[in-house]
Amino acid sequence: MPEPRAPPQPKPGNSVDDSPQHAALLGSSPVGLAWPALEQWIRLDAASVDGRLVARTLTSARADGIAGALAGRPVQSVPRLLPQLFPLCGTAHAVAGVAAIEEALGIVASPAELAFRELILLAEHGAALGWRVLMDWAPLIGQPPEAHACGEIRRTAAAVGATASAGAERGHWARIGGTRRRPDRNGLGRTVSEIARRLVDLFPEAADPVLSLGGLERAMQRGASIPARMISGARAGALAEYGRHDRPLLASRTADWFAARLAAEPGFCRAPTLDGIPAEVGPLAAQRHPMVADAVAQWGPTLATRLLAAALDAPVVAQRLQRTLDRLADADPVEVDLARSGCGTGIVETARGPLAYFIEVEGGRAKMLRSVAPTEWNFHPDGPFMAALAAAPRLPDPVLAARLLAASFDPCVPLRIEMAPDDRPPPNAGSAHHA
Amino acid sequence: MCIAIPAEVVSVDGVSAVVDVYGERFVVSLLAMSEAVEPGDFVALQARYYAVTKIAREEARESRRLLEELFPELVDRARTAGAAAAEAGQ
Repeated sequence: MPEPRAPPQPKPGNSVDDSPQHAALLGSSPVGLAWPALEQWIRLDAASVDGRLVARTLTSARADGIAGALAGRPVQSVPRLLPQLFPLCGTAHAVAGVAAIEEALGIVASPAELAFRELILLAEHGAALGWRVLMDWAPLIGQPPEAHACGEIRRTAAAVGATASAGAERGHWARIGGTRRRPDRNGLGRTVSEIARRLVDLFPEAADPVLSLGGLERAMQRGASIPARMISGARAGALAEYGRHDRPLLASRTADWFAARLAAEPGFCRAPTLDGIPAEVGPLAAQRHPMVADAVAQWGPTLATRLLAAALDAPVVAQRLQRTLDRLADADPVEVDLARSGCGTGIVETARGPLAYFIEVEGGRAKMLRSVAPTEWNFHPDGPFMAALAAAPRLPDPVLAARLLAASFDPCVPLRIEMAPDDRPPPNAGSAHHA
Repeated sequence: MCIAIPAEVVSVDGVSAVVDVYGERFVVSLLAMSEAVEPGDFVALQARYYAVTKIAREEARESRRLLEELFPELVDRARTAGAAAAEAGQ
């Protein structure tokens, strides 16, 4: 079991990120806006060579082995501790963790409990979509982050969880075997309708379910939404061919597939591959909306297609929330024998792709715990993001293009681009020297 | 995966707040929060500038204890940065 590794300290450099737009929201401040010592990030070191961005290395300053560090603890404490370590996507970690434990212990939670978990996962997915569009994408088209609108989506997502949890005890959603739950279906109907409406409003040009890709493209060209402007911009000029790479797409994989790799390959957690080749995960690979396949066929697996796939998650999640609500019912816990031993895997689909947990339980304790998250796939040092940079055509603003590309792969921590100056002499330097 | 160290709210000024993480202090926006906060509360930060989730005080303390146990070097670094900031008068 690898020891948890603390992230290295950020180094000063010619850093490019979205700080100015975000910092502007806070105005002048008497206290620091520098990178906090505990900040985590992914760093791309690149050089400008002959007008091109040449990617050198991709390093992650994210702590790893975190979930594994919970090994040895009582198994019932694990699903409760996971969201404390990962509060930004705590539902996904807790649900994946509890699913793995239940499989290891031979427990089958009730259908109503599973529907509840799916509902709160979708609500968290919706909140992540709001962040993606309103906070991450807005600065990339030159407008301020829409923090208030993002907050409204987050508040509604939180209300879905709270309303669905009526009658349940604190910490209920991370309880092995589920718990007694008597959701307020009327109140939940209103809350789910509200978040669904807010999600559809993120990308109103795609609200018509029978729209063709051509129709959507025309609507986006006239549209004013952030996704419409992002995607239309990515369809123009040289960017239209940007974002292609030769790495495979990781379509959905079974729990057994993840279990075999997480159990046998400790390095899989930090640098996962599809049979030795780094692969892409996320909305483009998952193709959750039927129009994504059309876009892949007509536009290719480009930046624009990847952005479209991500934006189309908004109507998809809105629809799934409504459908899951129909399956929600009163729930009761099932019997749990924590003394059993075994192995289990839990996978949840998040906004960025699959989050998988593998656990070995013995004597009531977590003997081994491993996990792999979507960012490890897409930002593998030799993965799809780096491959797409290497295959980039000549672009007018390669640094902005790299930031757009990173946003399309959606890392769960900020990406810092450190640009080294072109170290080659200018084309006429030699003749000038000899003149 | 992104761990998030609970930040303690020191003061609130409209839609922004000053938060403290082991002595390091930052201004963060509260616009993306799903609930109101007051000094003494703990929040999770996202993308450096935003408080996004309120964390119950006991859970926040437990999270910090857990992180101190798992990542002592990381926490020491934060404390060192906090002490340096305090010395510089921030």
